[in-house]
Amino acid sequence: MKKKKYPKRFIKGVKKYIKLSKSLLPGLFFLCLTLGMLFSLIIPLRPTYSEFEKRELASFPKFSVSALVSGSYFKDIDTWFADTFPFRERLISANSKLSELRGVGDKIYGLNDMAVQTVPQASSEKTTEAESGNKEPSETTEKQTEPTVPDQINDVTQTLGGILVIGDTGYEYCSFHQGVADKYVGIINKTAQQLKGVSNVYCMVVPTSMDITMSDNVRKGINSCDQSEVAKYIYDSLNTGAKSVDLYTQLRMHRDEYVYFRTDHHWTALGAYYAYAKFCETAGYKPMSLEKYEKVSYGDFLGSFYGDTNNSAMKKNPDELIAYLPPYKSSLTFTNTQGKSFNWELVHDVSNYPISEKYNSFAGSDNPFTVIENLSKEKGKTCLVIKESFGNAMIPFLVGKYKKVYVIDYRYYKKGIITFAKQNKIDDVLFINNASAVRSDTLIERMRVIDY
Amino acid sequence: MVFSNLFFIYMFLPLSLIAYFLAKDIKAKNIVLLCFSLFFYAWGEPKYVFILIAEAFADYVLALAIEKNRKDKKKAKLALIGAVAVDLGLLCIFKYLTFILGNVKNITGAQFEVMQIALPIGISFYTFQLLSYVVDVYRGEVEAQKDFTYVLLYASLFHQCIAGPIVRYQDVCREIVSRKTDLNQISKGITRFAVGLGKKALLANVCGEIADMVLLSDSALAVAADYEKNLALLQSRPALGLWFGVLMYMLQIYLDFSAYSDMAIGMGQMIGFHYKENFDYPYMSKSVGEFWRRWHMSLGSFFRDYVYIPLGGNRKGMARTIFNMFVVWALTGLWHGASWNFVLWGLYFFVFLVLERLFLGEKLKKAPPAVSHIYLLVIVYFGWVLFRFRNLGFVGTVLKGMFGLNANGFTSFEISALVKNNIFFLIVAIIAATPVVKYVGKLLNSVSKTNPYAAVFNVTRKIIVPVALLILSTMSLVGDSYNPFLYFQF
Repeated sequence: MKKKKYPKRFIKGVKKYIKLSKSLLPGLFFLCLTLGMLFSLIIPLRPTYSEFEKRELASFPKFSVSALVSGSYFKDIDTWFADTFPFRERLISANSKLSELRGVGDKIYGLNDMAVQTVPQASSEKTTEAESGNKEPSETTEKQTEPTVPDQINDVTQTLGGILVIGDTGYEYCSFHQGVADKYVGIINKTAQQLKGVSNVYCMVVPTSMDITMSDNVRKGINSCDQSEVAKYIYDSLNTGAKSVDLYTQLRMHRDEYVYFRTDHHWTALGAYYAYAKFCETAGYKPMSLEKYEKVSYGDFLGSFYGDTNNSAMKKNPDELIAYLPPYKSSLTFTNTQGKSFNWELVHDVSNYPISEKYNSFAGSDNPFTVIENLSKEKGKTCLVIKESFGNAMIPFLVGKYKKVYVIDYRYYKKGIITFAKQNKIDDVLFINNASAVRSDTLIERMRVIDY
Repeated sequence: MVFSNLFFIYMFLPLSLIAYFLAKDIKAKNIVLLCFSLFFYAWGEPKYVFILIAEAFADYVLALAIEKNRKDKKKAKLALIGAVAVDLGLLCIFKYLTFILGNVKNITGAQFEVMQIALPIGISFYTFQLLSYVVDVYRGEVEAQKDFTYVLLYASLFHQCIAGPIVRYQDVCREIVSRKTDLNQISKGITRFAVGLGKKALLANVCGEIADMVLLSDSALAVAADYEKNLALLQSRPALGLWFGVLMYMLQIYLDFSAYSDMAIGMGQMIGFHYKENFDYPYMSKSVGEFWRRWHMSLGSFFRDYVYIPLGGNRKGMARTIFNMFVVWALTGLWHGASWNFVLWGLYFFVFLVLERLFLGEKLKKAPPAVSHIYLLVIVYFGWVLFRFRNLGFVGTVLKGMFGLNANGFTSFEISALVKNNIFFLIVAIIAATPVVKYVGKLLNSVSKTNPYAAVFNVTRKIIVPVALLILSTMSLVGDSYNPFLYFQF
């Protein structure tokens, strides 16, 4: 092969560049390190809250000698440094784009933390927790001692199990834990038993989207437990008069509609409306038709599935938060975890909320205790809703049927339910909880301690 | 603090380098290094930093005693024994006492509370470094250091103090008192560091995350109360998932550990230290013997020089050789952790090493390279199963599951999705465990000699790749909670 001739000037330029390059890498690299250091020292650049992860980021640790000696002080500085790094969200979302290049196909985020069990048949002779020698002082309801519940919100916000993302749609895995389900049923049975003659108790197990909107072909292969069986197990175990509301069949009938979010684990207001209609049917009420509500859009919404996965297909195609403004007037007062009370709207305009916070539109979102009064009604029944966040979307519809609706978020509320129901002459007690929450021992444990 | 930590990269490292290069002479530079090293160690172990200092001091004094008593062999030997007793004594107390007492309790059935002693970070590494120093002084291979700060610097230097390589004093003693660096060396060091960081943050962490997903994380497995639950989970994992998970673990453990050595060697090079290589693409080996000459070389040579050869090596007949090998491999296993599975893991290799010495080695040499290569990979692969689970119940379950004996099926929707999700990543990680990238670099270098376009490209990629690796690694470390350092436990 003949040696190619290059122009002399070109060769000279190349040689110059090569010589220069020797100091380029050290220069550039140290520049990056130093810039990183300087940026990381500009405290205002550091975020303190993550919208999508819905949590306060780590804060700079307080100094103490014991923390210093144990090493936790330095460890916490490390955590703070990495957790609140400047441009955090941008870096994380860039990284998740990079990580989507790792392969192909439907994306799996986390395998189930529980072996999938087949849901057993409920035995009809199941004893309620109250009867089975539970240590809780169930009869001494007059003596209201505050149970010692750590006031920490972080450990009760539901952490999602495995998530499957097909295209731009997330689905949460569901697993069944018999012991926890039994505990949950025990609570409802005890409530129904103690409130016999006072209130009707209804139990609604809300299925999550995987068993409703996912195509049957795909669903077949997936190792997530059958939520219709979870609901059946719970419903079949109700033996003290609590009534079940078959939401599964109802939502399956509307599965082609926008009943669940794609980027969030919750149902939409529309899904909650259908559940409300089913509840009315079960309870013998006439549901208000959806046309009477004014349909409004509060803009794009990227929920928990996006927060957990940073999936770029979801980001490209966010959900839309649609709310239905009721034709009736109402007043709502909620008490937050600090014990402060606020007046709020039943359906709040969240157009200006951060994109990840849109689900907060409904019924003042997650507060320990909320009272709603229907101002368009002179008289009417009273209702108590015991719920986690799934219940929120349904409450605006429920208010139309009642004069007063009390809402207890059992994850934060710390007083007794039964006494409360008796004192306030509650007609209907509604347990609205999703199938996944029922498998979580921490959550159900919360409910158990308030149930006396 | 670990190297793949944002606080290290964007605070400790730039500050230490600035201080280092601002320091005028070697004395000042060494003081800077020592201060930063002690700070680095204290950051992770504010209490145990004093053990490090005390141990270094004891060995410093005893090495001097040996030096003084060169002619009085008895006294010198006594000093040596004293040093070995101090070093191994501390190692035993902090690393093995809990394990030993636990076993005593199990065997004798005695009733007493076994105290839990936390393992000081890096104690296995710096103890071995100090041991080698004293023994080398005793053997007359190196002079005892008269300045304590140098001994302390040698033991505590943050480059290698907490996860190796196990640097020998005789390899760095000259560079401790006099070393030079230039732009070329700095560039090389930076590249090496960036490659290590990328290997760790972009590859090893991902491998680890996937392995943990399938095989459960160490912290989850450590909860004794969850034993039944974990066992049920592992039993339910489909065979493909287990094979994939162990493969990911196999890649993780190499990428993670060699990345740490890369970063240590790179940082050394930036300031004029030349540490010996610790890994030489071990998964390319064709026999177990070769594997152990290419895997964690500084540990292998330590046991060779300070245990195997003093015991007589292979000079005292076959039976004695095999016994010596047994001792070395039981200790190698035990060095990795105070748990029986590590001892078994070491002895597992011992069996194959003996077989290779007896007859297998000859056959492997004659066999086609592919066959001997697969032989080695299969042995190492299953070795990691033993290495992964401290509880042998899990080992059995996973091994059975890999062959579908847990009624667990071949695959599931989730496992297939997991494999597909990471199929390109798997290829990249495998390539990273082979010298392919190194060969491509060499090829580019040689083409650059004759082709100026290639030369420009080559020079440019040498600048861009390390910087890109730094940026990508930063991205993956922000807000990422998964960032373990496997070799901390050793």
